[in-house]
Amino acid sequence: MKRLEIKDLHVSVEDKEILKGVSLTVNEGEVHALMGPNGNGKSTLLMTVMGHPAYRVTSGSITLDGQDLLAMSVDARSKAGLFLGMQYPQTIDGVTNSDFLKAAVNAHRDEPISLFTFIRQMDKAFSDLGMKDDLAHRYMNEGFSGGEKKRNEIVQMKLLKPDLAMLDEIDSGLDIDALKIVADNINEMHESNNMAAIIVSHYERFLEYVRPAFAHVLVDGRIVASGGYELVEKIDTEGYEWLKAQNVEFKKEEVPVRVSLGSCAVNQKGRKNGNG
Amino acid sequence: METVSSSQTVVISSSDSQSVSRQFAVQGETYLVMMIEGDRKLDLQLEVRALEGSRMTFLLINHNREEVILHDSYHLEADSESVIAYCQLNDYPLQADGEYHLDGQGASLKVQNAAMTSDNKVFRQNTLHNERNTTANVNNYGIAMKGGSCDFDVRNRIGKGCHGSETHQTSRILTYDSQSRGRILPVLYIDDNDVRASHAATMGQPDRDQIFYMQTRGLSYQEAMKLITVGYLLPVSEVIDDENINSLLRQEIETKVSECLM
Repeated sequence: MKRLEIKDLHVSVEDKEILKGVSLTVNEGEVHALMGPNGNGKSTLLMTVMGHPAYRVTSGSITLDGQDLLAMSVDARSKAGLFLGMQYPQTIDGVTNSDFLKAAVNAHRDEPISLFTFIRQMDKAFSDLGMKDDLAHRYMNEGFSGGEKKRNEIVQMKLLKPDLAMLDEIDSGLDIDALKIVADNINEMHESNNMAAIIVSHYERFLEYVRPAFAHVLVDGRIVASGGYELVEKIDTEGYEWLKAQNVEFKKEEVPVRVSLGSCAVNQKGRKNGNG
Repeated sequence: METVSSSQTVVISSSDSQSVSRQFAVQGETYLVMMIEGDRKLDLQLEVRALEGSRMTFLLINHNREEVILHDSYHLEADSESVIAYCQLNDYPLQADGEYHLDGQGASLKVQNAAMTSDNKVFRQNTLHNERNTTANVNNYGIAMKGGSCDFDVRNRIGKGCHGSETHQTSRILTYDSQSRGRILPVLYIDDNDVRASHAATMGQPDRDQIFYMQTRGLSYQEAMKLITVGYLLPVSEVIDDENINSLLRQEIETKVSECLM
């Protein structure tokens, strides 16, 4: 039984408080939609659960089956069963997709996976996601389209078989067919592995495919409404305006800022000639 | 001067002699691998002549367990194609002076250099276009860690009358901690028109967002760093067509990175 419990979580980024007391419980096999206007803390919540060092927990707790998640390293959280499908997946030049996937799979095992088994699993995941075979042998996300990057996140999810997948706008960049394929694969993991999920999305179409049983609206660092799938439908038809009538104060929309840990000046693209 | 015309592996041991001088003339299609071993300081002088129309792949792997002072010079005759790869991943000091003379029309050169150090490694590379229609690409990949330093002093010169030539250089250094140091001096001397030339120099630390991404997939910090480091150095092998030499270089990079980042 995996149970993620977030209690009264306060999180700051560069001394600016983003989450102002979030509480949320996700039980084994539950699928939750997390909605809300841009820049109100949805990604911050997922990044904090996964342990991004730029997000500082100032108070509150996060536990997984009673274990203090905040005391665990990022990789330990992954091994404990968490997965974060990112809004902006990283490009890692020089590291092939297949090498990375194999390293990630092995990190979750006591004994390294046999090459034959790995290739079979990887090929199946690629086929399930309708991805071209050559993407396995290209550098990690290098030259991938936006949609391919997102599908590649789901490939990783399938290979790592998490107990709880946190998917941050995994539907952005996907065309209508890919949207269905990604949703089908999430549903398949949910049904076959009883995988729980927290899905951040702005699009009812995607959530209609996944049909989360629970939905929450996060505004200005607080969950201001929770319910079932009917909440997704309400937001799709009415937007967020109705919350104002309930005295919910909306944060002034800001362009969401991607928090970076600082990047390396060595961009492999720079090795092409002509950068003098 | 030894003539080499196929595949050959040469082992230089500093335990046998601390001052070594070797000369090679390369003809036809040639794959030459040089391994430096031993546990004493070594002064190594190399002279290589790529004869007209030859195709040479040369890989130098430094395993010496003491300082190496390397002077290597190459004379590339007309229509020769040369790939020169260095694998300087041992953890001892190095001073390397490389001279690459493109002496004949149509000569082409690729230099691929992988260096990793927690000590001090200094590279001075002079590429001299002495004839027209010659091409050179010099690529350096350095890593300085644990207080080490890595210097690339890279000079490409296209002389007077050498129009139609093309010269490029790229140098990159990753520093793994605040105590480590990198220095790149990219210089282009162009003394004729109708040439193409470029230089690129980048320096920085490993991208922590990439490391975080890998950690979210269960890799430890060390495992992530190993993958990133191997990925950073592996492009050195990309220009080597020969499968055996390519595989040797890849294996060497993977082994040394694992050892250094244990």
